[in-house]
Amino acid sequence: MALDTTKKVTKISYNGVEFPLPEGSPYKITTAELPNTTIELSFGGSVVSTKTTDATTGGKVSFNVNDSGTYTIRALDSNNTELWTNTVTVSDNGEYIVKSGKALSSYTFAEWHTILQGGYFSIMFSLKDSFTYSQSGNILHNHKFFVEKITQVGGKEIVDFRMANKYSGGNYNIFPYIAWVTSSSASSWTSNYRSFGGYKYSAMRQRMMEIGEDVYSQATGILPDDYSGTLTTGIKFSDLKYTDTGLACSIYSYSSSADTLTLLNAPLTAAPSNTAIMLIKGYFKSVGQIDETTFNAGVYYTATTVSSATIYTKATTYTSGTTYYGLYEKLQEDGIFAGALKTSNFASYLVKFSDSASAGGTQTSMVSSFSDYADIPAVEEITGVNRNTTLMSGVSAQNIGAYNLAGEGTKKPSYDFSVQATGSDYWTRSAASNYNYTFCLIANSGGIYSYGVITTYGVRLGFRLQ
Amino acid sequence: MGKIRNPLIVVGGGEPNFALYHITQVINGNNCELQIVDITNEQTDNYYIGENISQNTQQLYIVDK
Repeated sequence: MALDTTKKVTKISYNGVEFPLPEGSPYKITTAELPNTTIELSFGGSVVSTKTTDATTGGKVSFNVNDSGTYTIRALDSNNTELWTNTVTVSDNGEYIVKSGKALSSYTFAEWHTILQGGYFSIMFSLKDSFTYSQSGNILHNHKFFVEKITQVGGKEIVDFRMANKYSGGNYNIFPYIAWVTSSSASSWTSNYRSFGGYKYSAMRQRMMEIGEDVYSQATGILPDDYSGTLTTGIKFSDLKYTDTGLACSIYSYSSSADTLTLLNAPLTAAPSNTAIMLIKGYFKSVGQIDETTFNAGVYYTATTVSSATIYTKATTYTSGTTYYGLYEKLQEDGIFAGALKTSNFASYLVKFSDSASAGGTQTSMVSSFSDYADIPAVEEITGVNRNTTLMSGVSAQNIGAYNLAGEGTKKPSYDFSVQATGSDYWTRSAASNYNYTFCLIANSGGIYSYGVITTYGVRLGFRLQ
Repeated sequence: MGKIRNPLIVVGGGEPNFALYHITQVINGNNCELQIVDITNEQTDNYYIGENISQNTQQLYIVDK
């Protein structure tokens, strides 16, 4: 005969001897709030207990209760005005966490910061809680972000937010490529779009970076110094100078198996193969139509599209109305996403991600590390699988297109199919190891696909707050 | 003091010592008394495999079979 579980145990005997009733309560109800908030606990229509959060930090309050059933929790400010109310039904032994009865968006960013510093964000809010950011003029305006992950760090918490739908405006391509002259005519170029260097050295990551950071670009349109043909487009390496300083540009060979850059000596002779991995330190940026005085004070370039590749040519004479390009050793302005974050209303609470990503190409083990305020997810952070994973069906994850490397991160806890599928057709930061020109994309179905790095897709921006 | 539930809960902690128990529930209104005795063989009703901790530490776990 089953025991009646509705009865309250008031006495226990064990082998005929009365057993002392254990102390303590079977149920613990925990909530949290900002400083000086009174939490009122009611049961059966009567207030059974009240507690007030720490006056400085706020934080958790817990109530130990004996009766199963539904409890009401009210949060009251210092004027005894109700902030929110919530209920919890306790049945099985254990601790019950009661979330805030107010939406995430009803707290200010400064309050989020207080909550995170007190380490109780995960008590008040849940994974996938979301808010829509509002700031006229900021590219993040009207974009929805959800809680992707909450991490405990030394009694505090940090929270990762992810854009619910992809951002598809602006230039977010990854298209590192190499375009060396391949014939006796400098107008004949290869335009091989490569993933060498991976996300770390991609044009897409430059959108996430800040003023003054080192940037590298693939050596597009650069001729060896001993090139003897007639120069119509492109630049001999020795003529490649930074616009603002006039100094010679550095060129490196890149090893994706070791994630190392090796400075090459000038003059650079003998065109390498178009599969050689060459990066110049710096990047080209449009400076628009400049005046002649400005033109004469710097080194400027014009851009031509040849075989789908953008080929830069040194401008020797000034022509009014021409769009010029400058070559700069370091990033001249924030990437669009870093800039948006740093001018946001939560800018002072941003923390950088420490991310990893494949070093690119077809190599299968090397991941490189970098740190940015703005990031996009790796495949493994969304799906939990990498190229080495064996799926439950027994087949390799590569059968479902997961050619991403292991070690780019661990699956973040908010991801299930619905979260994964929203914002579909978006780039990840995972190079696909089956080809040397593809990155992994999360597509409409939520599936993983390898797409050429020239292709334009959206990104799902993430940021981290403390 | 907690109510009975599945698994039976009587809060506390300590070293587990698995054993068999027979439990008789004596109901008195909304309250009840649990009479727990050690047994050596499985019985037809209300026997439990539990974790018995000594009375000295006032700790007792009983986990439903």
